[in-house]
Amino acid sequence: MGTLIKLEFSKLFKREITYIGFIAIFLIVVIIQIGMFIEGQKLLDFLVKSMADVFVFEGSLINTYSVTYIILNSLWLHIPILVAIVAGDMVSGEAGRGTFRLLLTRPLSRTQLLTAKYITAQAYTSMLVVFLMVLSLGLGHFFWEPGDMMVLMNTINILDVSDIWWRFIGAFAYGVMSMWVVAGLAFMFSTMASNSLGPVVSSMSVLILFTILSNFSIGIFEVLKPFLFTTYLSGWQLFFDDPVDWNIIWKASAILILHISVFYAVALRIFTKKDITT
Amino acid sequence: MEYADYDSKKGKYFNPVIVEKVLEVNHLVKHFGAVKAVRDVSFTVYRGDIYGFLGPNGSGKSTTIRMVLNLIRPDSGEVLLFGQQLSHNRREVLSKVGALIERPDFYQYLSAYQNLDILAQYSGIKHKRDKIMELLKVVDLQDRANDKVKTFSQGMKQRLGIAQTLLHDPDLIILDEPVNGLDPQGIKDIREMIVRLNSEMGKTLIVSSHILREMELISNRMIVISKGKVVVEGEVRKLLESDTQQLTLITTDTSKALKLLLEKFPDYTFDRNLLDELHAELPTDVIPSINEALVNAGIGVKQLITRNNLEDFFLQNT
Repeated sequence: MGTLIKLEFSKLFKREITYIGFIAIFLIVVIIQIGMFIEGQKLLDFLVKSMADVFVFEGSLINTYSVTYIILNSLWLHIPILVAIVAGDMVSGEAGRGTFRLLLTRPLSRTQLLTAKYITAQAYTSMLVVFLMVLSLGLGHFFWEPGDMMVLMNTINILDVSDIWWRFIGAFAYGVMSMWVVAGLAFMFSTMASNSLGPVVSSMSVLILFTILSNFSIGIFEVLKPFLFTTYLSGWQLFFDDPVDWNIIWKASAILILHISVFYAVALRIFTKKDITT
Repeated sequence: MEYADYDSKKGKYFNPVIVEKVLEVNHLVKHFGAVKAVRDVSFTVYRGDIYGFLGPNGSGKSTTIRMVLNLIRPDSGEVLLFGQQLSHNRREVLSKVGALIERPDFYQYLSAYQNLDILAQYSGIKHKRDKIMELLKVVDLQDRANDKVKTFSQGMKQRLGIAQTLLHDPDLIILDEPVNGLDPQGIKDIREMIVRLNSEMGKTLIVSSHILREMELISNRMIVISKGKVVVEGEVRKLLESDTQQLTLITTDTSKALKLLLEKFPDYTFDRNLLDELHAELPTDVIPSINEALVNAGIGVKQLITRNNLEDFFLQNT
């Protein structure tokens, strides 16, 4: 299995499309960081204007962590697309190129091949999120000093500088897991198609539909909400609550892992029964 | 008949013994929706065969070959490769089989060497560099080893396709339409390579094609399928050695020739068509007498064309 994963990685990183995600994240993060460096103070002043009568703010609220938090909020919508582009091509790309005829006549099982591809897709997803973390925090340290972080959720949380690092690590780890679900979904669609566009569009459609359902406060959708993975995709923000509600995080993680497993199982079932006609 | 060897010069099998069945296909059936792609196809390939798999385009050849390799699941029927079911012993069986199915589609963004390297690793081959270079030499691509496949001509891709079938030194090689899209020189190269693989490297080959002439030149046994059904199966020489031939004659004087032939060969029917050609179905051994009679009567024979029934079948169906 190790050799197969290595081979899948080798093929993946010899393709230009693989680097689109990294380049896009790099550009977006750099642009946001520079933008925040130039105009950030004005933006923050505007955001806390209504609170200025109640609170006294000493020093700047803009620092490494607050900018990283803002980047995370703004990028969390785009990363699924970047993940789906690669994960959606993992199986359908081989079918479209006709290379399955070469691979599946070699002495290896379909289960092994699909599992290696699934692991590779998820590893790529992890690398993308880790790249986002390293870049955001790294550039954040370059432009600003670390400092206390203010988070506006249902309440206003002021997090001490010494109490932030573990939260970011937790948030990114959770983020990796939630993106695994998106990658798993695109990968599952990839086993049904013989072109890359279909799985990307299908997974984005499901993501948008489920996100709408997750945010509708209407009776019938309320029943569905707990079972939709989109309800838990933004769960990384829970790490910036004070105190952190671990029960919700564990429950959300369990549901995400369930989805990751189900998408893999469905993909495996489809792929092992699939007629290779391309 | 089961046999050990075949003498291509004498056209005879010798040393009849029980030889290994490399592939046994029994009653394969496959539907795609309402379309019956393969209907009850059965055949056997023995060790040492160059087995021709013939049929017009869309006759079910590729579907059958894909079922043999488990790329497509049959609705019913059984495939035994080396006496084993592929679905139960996939690794062991596929380690003895090399296949090139239809177009040779490679990773276009990789070089010839890189493509073979990746496929060798999928096959679990170690110490592969020498092997790959050796195979590239066999298919005459050693000078293009580091060029990306997207720069290759169709013929070069076909040759690279054959090289990849040899990576794990299989006993059985399956080539599906290996000469498709090739120019005459490319076809000749592939044909010679197939014969070499069989005679020099001892490989058993199954070669599919819709061109009878190609199969006739290289294979010792063949199956012909049409509309998903087996039309005929057996030894090539026997299939082509038909008792009767379709004769087409073009002479210097058609009327005189027709009169003469009707007088001298009253047991046979001769027809004259609008192109001023004479047609007849005759026993093979009568044809020289016809030529002789015409020449003796001072009638010049411009063309004398014979076709057997298998060719007729093909001309009607391809």
